[in-house]
Amino acid sequence: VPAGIFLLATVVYPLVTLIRMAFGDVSLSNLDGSYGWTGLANFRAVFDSPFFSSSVKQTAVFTAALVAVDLILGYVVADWLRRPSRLAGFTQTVLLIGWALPVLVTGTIWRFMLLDNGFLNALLHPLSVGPVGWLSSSTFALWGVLIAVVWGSLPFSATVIRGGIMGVPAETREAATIDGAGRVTIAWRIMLPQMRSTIGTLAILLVTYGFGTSFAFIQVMTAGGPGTATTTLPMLGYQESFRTFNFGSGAAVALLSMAVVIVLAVGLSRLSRESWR
Amino acid sequence: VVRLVRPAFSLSSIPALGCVLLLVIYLGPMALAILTSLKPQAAIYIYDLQSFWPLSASTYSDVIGQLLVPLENSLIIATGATVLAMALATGAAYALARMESSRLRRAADVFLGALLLLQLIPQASAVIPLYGVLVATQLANTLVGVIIADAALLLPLAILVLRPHFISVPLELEDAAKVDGAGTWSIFWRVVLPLARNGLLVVGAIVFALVWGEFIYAITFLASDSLNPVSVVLLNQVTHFTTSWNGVMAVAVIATVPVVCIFAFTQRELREGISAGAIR
Repeated sequence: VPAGIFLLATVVYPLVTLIRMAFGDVSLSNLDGSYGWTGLANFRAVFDSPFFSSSVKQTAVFTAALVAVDLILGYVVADWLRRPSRLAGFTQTVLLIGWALPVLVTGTIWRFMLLDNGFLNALLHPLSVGPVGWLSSSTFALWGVLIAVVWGSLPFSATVIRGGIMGVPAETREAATIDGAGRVTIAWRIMLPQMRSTIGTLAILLVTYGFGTSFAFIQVMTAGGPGTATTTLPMLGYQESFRTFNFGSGAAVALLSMAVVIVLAVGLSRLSRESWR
Repeated sequence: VVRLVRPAFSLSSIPALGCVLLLVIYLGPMALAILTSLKPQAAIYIYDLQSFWPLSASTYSDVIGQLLVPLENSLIIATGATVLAMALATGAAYALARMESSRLRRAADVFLGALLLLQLIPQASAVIPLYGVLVATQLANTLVGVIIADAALLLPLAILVLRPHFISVPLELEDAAKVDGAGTWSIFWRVVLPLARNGLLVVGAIVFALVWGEFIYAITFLASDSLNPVSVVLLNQVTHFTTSWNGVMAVAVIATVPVVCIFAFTQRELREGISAGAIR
């Protein structure tokens, strides 16, 4: 019960505040709660803003790419780590260290590696590629951030998928191999249908990651730039609030992005339960 | 047809090669970060080891002086938030675990569902109204405000990961204590808590590590430099002083040490937490 009350005070009350702010004329001077009700004005301002549609697009591209890359690479990595061996065990530990590093530290390291004169471009130089403006050009910046986010989240995805693979009886897979099925066929036709709840849950978590943790990565690596190239929906809400102090429209964006996550998550959980029948 | 003879380059060596590739991809950046922190400023973008040998730890002695106060702040915030979150989570997780084996099962399910839903809320969305609430309660720009915010952020996770530990405490033990005349409170305090002690320690350590690395709330709510935790100092260095990457990496390494120690101590629990779907 005490935890319930604390959650009520620290989560539910702010949620109510968020809704009030989204429909109110909030500024720095009346942030203490004395702001009035303005109806949909904030939302109208947000929809009219030129940054809004671009940030929606960037959020969609980024989240979709994160889910796709993590699921595919996650399966490949999980397959590598499947058979217990010393090497696989050690690799898994190293991966989990990479995952457990604070986002701030991972973001810092990758920001350094992805500099125009950074390590990755130094590696690519002998191949006469680049230098690529991983974080400095608006074409690549979103993908530069994605590299770091995938690096940080892949160990997690692979561990979850590995658990799912272990849940499929080994005989099923062996029977398919003897029947001459290739790796891709096995993955697509045999493993995937049996792992749909694992993959569904993972997809939900990755969408949440795309909106939540990715925001922290973007904050460290590009702060939404260059220009607005990496300003996703959560970033837009944050900047509206704490850079230009338009708390009202910031709250409106925050409310929208929260709604999107919840709708996506609920939709995905329905989907993973019902499809593939 | 079963093939008995394997080709020279068999498919079975792919996993091993894959593991080596992964080790390079993951150890490489970590090694580069440590190496950079040991380099002199002039050699930051030079990757030829011989040209800047010997390495020196002088960067560390340069940065440690300005890190003492931030380290102390980090310690206060992380300890405070951990104690607060764990105190509340322990009661809630125990109650949930016991409700499940009683008629209150429905209520427990609803509460669990609500916790999972809370986990979905992006921190970027939560930070805006929380700032409003902290300003209204005059807790903005105080460590207490950050502690409360961080505890709220991690409470759902702490409850979800603690719950299985209480479920695994056998009901028979509690019943036996009841027969001996012990009240609910003393059963909880004397019987249940000691049995769940390991779980509490591990979950507490995970919460501590997560608060230690948290920086969104801290940088938003704290306006005075003297209150900044290490995470905020690192963020400021990364975003403002990007010429001295050796110093930045030294700060990053120092900030990471406690997290890696905690990781070593909690590795098994983390893996189980991942498969239970509570940690992400």
